[in-house]
Amino acid sequence: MKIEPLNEEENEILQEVINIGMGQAGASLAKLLDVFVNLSVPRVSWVSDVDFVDQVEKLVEGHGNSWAGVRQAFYNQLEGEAFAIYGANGCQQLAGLMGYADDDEDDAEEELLLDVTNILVGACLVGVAKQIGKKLDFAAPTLVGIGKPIEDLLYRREREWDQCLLIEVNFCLEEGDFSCHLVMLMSEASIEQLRSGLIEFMESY
Amino acid sequence: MSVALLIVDDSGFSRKAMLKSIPEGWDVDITQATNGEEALAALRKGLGEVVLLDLTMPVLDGFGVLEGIRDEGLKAKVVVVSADIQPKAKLRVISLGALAFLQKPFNKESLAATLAECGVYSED
Repeated sequence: MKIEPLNEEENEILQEVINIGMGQAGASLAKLLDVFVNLSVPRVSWVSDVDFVDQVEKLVEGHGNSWAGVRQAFYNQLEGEAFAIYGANGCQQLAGLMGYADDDEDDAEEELLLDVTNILVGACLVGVAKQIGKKLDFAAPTLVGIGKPIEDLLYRREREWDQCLLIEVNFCLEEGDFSCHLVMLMSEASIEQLRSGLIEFMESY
Repeated sequence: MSVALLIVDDSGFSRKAMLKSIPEGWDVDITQATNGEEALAALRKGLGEVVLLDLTMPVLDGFGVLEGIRDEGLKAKVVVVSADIQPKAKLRVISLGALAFLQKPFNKESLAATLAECGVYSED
């Protein structure tokens, strides 16, 4: 089955719905770390699965080998995968803000990345799903790697779909160099659900 | 006399939603801007007695617009309409001179109530 990509108007509504979800995620992060979080304008594009890694590298402007990544899948009426990509210095800063000592085990850093990802992905996607009246469940987040190039964190793998909706939002702290890119992929099968939800949301105005 | 109302948001959908939600019977001349630079240009021409201002925008964000208004001594009554719901974002825009903060998603009622609170529009 060939799925129609979102048209310009649907894209515009989606961007605004994500903007609102991102605002909620940013507020959760700000509360957790007691800092001010700078938000970015969300970016939405339609990509083929094979282009996905290249597109993300472009969006994140990600060079070098010092990235950390966590993956979290979501399912139900919307399904897909979310990746949180953190810069290496950001990981240390995050640990500092949370009051972790330098000599803590690596386990602590891993746990922290998982917790923060869970909060960001959860708040953002629940915010989106709620507005468009769709159900959503989450798998537990898993660490893909620390100190790797971005390509290794997204790992090319067989998906059941070959077109997907790529969504990118960026959170950075006003001070220090912590930044987290949230990259979300939604399956072809989710698109019709998404479309009907977006139209309903638009009609509420 | 009609009020010069400036709507500033990079999202076309969001601008449309604001246009649809403006209280009926409020006599306004509307100008739209899609980023902070455009907003300041419109304000310098006197096209924004009342401003509905988004925060997260390309080129120049809403915080930058508020700073511009302050630094250039422009006269504008600003209501921030944003999805950035950090308590510190609200404090910051108020300290930069905004009259009120309206959280997205908004609706007709919440917009009218906020405009009335700021004294820029009266419901009767």
